[in-house]
Amino acid sequence: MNVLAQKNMKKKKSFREWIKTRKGQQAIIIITFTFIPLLLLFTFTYLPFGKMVEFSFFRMKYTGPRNFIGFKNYLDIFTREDTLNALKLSVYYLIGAIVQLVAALYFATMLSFKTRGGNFFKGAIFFPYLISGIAIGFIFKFFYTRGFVLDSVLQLLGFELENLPYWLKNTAINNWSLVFSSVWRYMGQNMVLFIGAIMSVDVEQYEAAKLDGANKMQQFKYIILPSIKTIVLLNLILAVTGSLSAFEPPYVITKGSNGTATYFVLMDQLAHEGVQKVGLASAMAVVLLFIILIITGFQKMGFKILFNEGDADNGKCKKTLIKSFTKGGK
Amino acid sequence: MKKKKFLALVLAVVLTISMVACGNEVVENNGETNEVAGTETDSEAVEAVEEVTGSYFENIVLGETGTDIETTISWFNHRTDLDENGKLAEYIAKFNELYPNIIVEVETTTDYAQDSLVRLTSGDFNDVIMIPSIDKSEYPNNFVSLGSKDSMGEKYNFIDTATFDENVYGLPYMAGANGGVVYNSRIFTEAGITETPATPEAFIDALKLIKENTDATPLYTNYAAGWCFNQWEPNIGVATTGDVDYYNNGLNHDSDPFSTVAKPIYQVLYDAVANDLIEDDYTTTDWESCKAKINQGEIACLVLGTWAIPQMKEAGDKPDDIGYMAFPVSVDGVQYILAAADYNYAVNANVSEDNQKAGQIFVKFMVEESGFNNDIYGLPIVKGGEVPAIYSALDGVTMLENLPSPVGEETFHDDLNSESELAIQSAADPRMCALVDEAANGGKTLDDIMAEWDAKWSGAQETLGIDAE
Repeated sequence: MNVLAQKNMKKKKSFREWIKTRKGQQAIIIITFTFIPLLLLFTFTYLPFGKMVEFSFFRMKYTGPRNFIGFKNYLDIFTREDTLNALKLSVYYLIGAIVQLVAALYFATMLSFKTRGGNFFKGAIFFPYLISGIAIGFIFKFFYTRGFVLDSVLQLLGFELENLPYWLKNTAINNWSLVFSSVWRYMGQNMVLFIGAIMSVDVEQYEAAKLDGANKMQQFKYIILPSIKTIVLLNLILAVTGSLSAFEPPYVITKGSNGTATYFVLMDQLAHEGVQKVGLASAMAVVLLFIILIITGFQKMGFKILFNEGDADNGKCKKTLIKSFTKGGK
Repeated sequence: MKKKKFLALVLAVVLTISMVACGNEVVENNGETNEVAGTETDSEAVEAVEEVTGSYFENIVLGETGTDIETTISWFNHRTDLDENGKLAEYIAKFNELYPNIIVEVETTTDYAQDSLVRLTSGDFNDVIMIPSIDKSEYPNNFVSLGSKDSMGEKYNFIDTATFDENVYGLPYMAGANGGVVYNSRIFTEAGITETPATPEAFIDALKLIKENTDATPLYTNYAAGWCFNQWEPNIGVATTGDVDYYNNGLNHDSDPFSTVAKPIYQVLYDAVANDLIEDDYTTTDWESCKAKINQGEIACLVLGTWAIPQMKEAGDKPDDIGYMAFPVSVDGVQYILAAADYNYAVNANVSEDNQKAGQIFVKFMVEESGFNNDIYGLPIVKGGEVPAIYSALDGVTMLENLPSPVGEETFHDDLNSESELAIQSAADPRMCALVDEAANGGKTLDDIMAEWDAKWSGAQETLGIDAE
């Protein structure tokens, strides 16, 4: 007892002194500087997220009474036809995302070497990413309208209007039309990430490979690809989360009608306007978060097995995991 | 290490304390404002009983009451068009001739239904607002009561939509007929249609004639705009049954409304789509350009309320071609159309007393003296007012107003709308778009779709414990 009290006394005394030392001052500065960001992070990310999880156990609207109904909302999600269909739509976006990544990697490799007009093409391909998603939605709405941009261009190339499909009305292709607008928008961003990664590859390696008689394809396969593995993984994970949470193209272009309602569009329809099933929509968000977490986990494991070396990437993977975590939460 | 732990602890404590403090403050504030609002309305009610009968609002004499109030009020509404063309400013200038000390600031937005809901939910909203679709039980917390249902009912039409618990919380800025068909009379004549179609079959035949004899799109669905589909559903009840007690009461207790009462409405849409009588590529329709198209005769008709008529008339150089008829259903040979109030003005109950009074004076002015309602072809709000000439097209059609829900069942309709996800008249588009898709692609039959909706509706009645048969 006595000893402990003494220790405490000693601590108190030394704290005052300690605060005046360089280390103490450092600590004060760290606390004061991190306090506001942490507070903001808590208020605008973790608190709303916690609230959302709470809401998911209630049958409630924005106003009015709330009834606690346990896991009913979660059960509903897995028994409803529309939620499962919406998840299936993600496959379209996932395929689109893979095409997008391959194309981005191709352009990035081309443009990392000396190409005529390289900077122009870099800019031109990256440009769509700078336009707001809503604006892109409107652009593509008119692009696909019967007899408008796309149809006129195809007619110039010799197609007959009667033989052209209705890009948004025909249920066999309307999801691909929407996916294309998303690929068009995000390919540039992926490409820039890849170019950045490829730039960090030591140029001497290419020279050495050339001397050994490696062609461009081999250089790509054995030098570039292994060096930018981390970025490829990152882009893949982002592509998966992105395709699960595809929202803007179907929301703006078709409003989710005609079998284009993705998971997020459905969530919006249920959460707002006349329906206002806030609890159910919150539960959907939580479920999506878990789906993304699980898929990301599998991907990471898959990559570990594929490359048989996860340690070097570990730090970055964790970051990505956290990133997708917060993204899903929103 | 210990010091670090200690620091972490301090940080955690500070964070928690600050959050707890914030939480407390919010709660306290809410309590206070609610109290203030409560006592104010109470004292108003007391005053009213002691001095004269009627509420503050009812006793306002424009130009005399409240001329000493000096304040600025803001008015949030959805008429971006009238704000941009300066029409609203004209009414406000007229108001300021009577009340130079009350400054009215106008704020408008195109996505009013959503924006206003967000503001209202947050509790921080404008002094005068148009009531969005919130539950009626929320009215007393947010809006000033303008008077009792009985005494307001003696002077004004269309008070039911904003009445809760015997109190009137808002007055409509205009009222009109709903669920009818805006049509281009020139195209109808050119197509050889001599009689206004009064049944779904006659209407489909008329559309076929238009397709054969003219270049116009017979029926424009406005599929992509979405919200236009809400405009079909006021016909549930009055137009399909002639029963004024159906929409707010009978419907809530009907377990299969869609395969019976409401079916003719969807029949018209389904048949029109299945017979290829709508726009070619419906997924890319555009609301703004449809106005000019019907004015010019590229579109023959649209299902909309009378509120849309001025916009269609102004969209081109042929305003006289625009006509309005009742939705093509008849009950025993008689056609009915629903007359109803549009958005209601309401005054924020959580602002200062001066602003509440100024807000009420402004609302009274807008309803009674501005001439606003008449300028936009509204049916009279003040009893005994003038009926605009445009309603002569509805000669022979009986105009009826829905009865309000029975006491104690006011929230049933909203609750069912939410629980069943059918969102009648509030977010009908996902459901109606699906109907169009099925009809166009030869999928489910109308009967199947109606049965599905009925199942959802009766399922919701069961969940909520509402009696139905």
